[in-house]
Amino acid sequence: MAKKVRIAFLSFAHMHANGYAGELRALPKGSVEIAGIWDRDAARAKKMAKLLGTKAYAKREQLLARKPDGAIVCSENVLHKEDVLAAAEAGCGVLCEKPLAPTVADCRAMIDGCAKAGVPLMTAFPCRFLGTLMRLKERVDGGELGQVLAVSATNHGRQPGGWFADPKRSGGGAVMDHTVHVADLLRWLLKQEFTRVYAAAGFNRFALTRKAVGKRAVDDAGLLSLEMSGGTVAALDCSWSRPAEYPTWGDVKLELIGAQAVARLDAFRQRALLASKRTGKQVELFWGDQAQGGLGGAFVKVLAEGLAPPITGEDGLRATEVVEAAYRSIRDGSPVVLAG
Amino acid sequence: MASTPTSALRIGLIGAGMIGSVHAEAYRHIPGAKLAGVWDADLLRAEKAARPHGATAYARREDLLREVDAVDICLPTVFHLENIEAAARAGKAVICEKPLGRTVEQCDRAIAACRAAKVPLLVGHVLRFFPEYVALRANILNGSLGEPAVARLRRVVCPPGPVGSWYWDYGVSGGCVFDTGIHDLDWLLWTLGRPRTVYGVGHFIAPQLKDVALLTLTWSSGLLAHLEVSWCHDTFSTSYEVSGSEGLIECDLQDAVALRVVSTAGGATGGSAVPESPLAKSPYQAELEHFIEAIRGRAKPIVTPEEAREAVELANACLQAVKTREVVELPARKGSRKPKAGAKGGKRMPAAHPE
Repeated sequence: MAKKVRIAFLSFAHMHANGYAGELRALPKGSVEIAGIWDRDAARAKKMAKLLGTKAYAKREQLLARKPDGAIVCSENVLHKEDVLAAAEAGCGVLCEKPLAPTVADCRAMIDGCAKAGVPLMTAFPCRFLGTLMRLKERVDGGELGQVLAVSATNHGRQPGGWFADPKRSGGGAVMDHTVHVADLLRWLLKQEFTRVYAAAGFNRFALTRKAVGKRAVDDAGLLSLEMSGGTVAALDCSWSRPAEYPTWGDVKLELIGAQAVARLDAFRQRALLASKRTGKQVELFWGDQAQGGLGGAFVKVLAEGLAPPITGEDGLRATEVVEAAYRSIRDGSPVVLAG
Repeated sequence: MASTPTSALRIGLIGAGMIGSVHAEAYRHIPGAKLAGVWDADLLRAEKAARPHGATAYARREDLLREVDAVDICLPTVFHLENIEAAARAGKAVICEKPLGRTVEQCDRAIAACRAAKVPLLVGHVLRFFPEYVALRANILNGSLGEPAVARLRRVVCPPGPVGSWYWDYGVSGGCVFDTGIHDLDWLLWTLGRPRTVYGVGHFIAPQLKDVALLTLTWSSGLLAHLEVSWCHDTFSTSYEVSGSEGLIECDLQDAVALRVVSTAGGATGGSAVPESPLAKSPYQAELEHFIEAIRGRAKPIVTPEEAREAVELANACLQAVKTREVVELPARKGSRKPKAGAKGGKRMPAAHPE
């Protein structure tokens, strides 16, 4: 029997940490243990530790001194680098929430730091593990679409508020938050790199943003136009455009227009609609599935079996490259060329 | 003129292709109008279109022009101008299928010809008569969405004609951006005003009959729009979504199948489904009814020739953007009090408080 993998959580600032913790707990008994939780927000660490039946640590170094095998970093975007490098130096393999970092330079430093420490670095792009996306990947790989000419994509969301709406901590708004999922999916599905990026953004366009940001200006509407090395062109709407009254948080949709076929994917379409006094409004309930163990399970497998991560730090960097180019394009009002 | 069938406006259809047949059918249901004649370069096709409506097929356009009160031009775009000028010279009111012209210059000449002849010119931007787009516009104008922030429009069709048809001569048709996208571009101009910049990526591959473009438009107010147009699909479909500061509205034609009758006669091999979204009055009929009323001077035209010209201008800017892969800035509207917007490509500050 493989040894039990011990995993530390470095921050629950990003709500995806809850999902990863759930995935770990769903793995076969004895295969994984949550070694502890550290969070800059001590109260949150305590609350989550209680919920997950583990110990909260006041200092990151105290937890890392417990020599966990791996660390899941879900801190605010701008703090990823610091937390990832600390974990790497302690000899932990790292799963880092997306975006890997807000800048390409930080991503590079994290990749180099983990390589130097000899630990795996995995970027959290959970969409790759959705059942709908895995099925689309199978069919694209099977070649039935022919040459993919164009992709029209959306990754809409609702203004998440909190640190997400503070560029000092998030590195940016909707373009930062919702570009990388689809950028990664396109690279993964099409095996192409991005060569040209144009983006237009709107700032404080939505009531929820105006409420969340105070006097700051945060991009909450964004449209990206992308060109890829194999000739595919793509458009992405990454806006936080879902009002509070909308029945769901947002979407991940891809329409792949191929020379032989068109594929239209709505990743969260498998859902039921609930209208109830209890919920107060219509709510959509997703009942689709994802890969066994999901992203958290894949990370455990990397640690337990010494495998290369299925989603690398380099993948994280490539997605951030698109974000960085998009913000440059928004600033300059013209497309930005990438090396590809 | 009274709107009784006996005094119905006599319509001469010029061009008996796909949209010509749709219009011919619509006139059958319009009491104030009667399809009187059809002219087409292909006389057989003209006869085929005329016969079911008891109309006369003409071999010569000038013979048709003598026998009608108004013409309805349903020809490939590049032939619009010549036929508008001929109709105007003959003093006939003109209904013309969209796009008004392939170039702004053609539009200017068409508008001048009709103005000089004092005949109305009505351009078939039929999207303005589609109930789902009427509802969309109404809920933007009534404030349900607050300030519009992101408009998403999608219009996909199957390749509109076989290899060799005029659609696949890019210079003639302008491809999907120009010929198909102009519906949504006109709707955007009509409802949300004139954009400031356009950008787009796409492919036009004539030998494979594939044409697709993804466009981004921006407004000085901070509004953004995305338009997907394609001639790569298996069937016609449209969708829209507009989000604003206070709300969101969306509609996808693929979800609007109100009636689906599936044949089971084929047994285990399966039958064929015929999906329907039934409407008492087709948008084409609503459009032509309105145009007839406008020609009779009983309605203010919902589509002005100048607006049709602006749609052509915008569609050409979109084509230019896709072709050059650069941002194209639209010049400020003629006579507009707004100054031409800033630097190349439009550097702009966060629009926290749209004008």
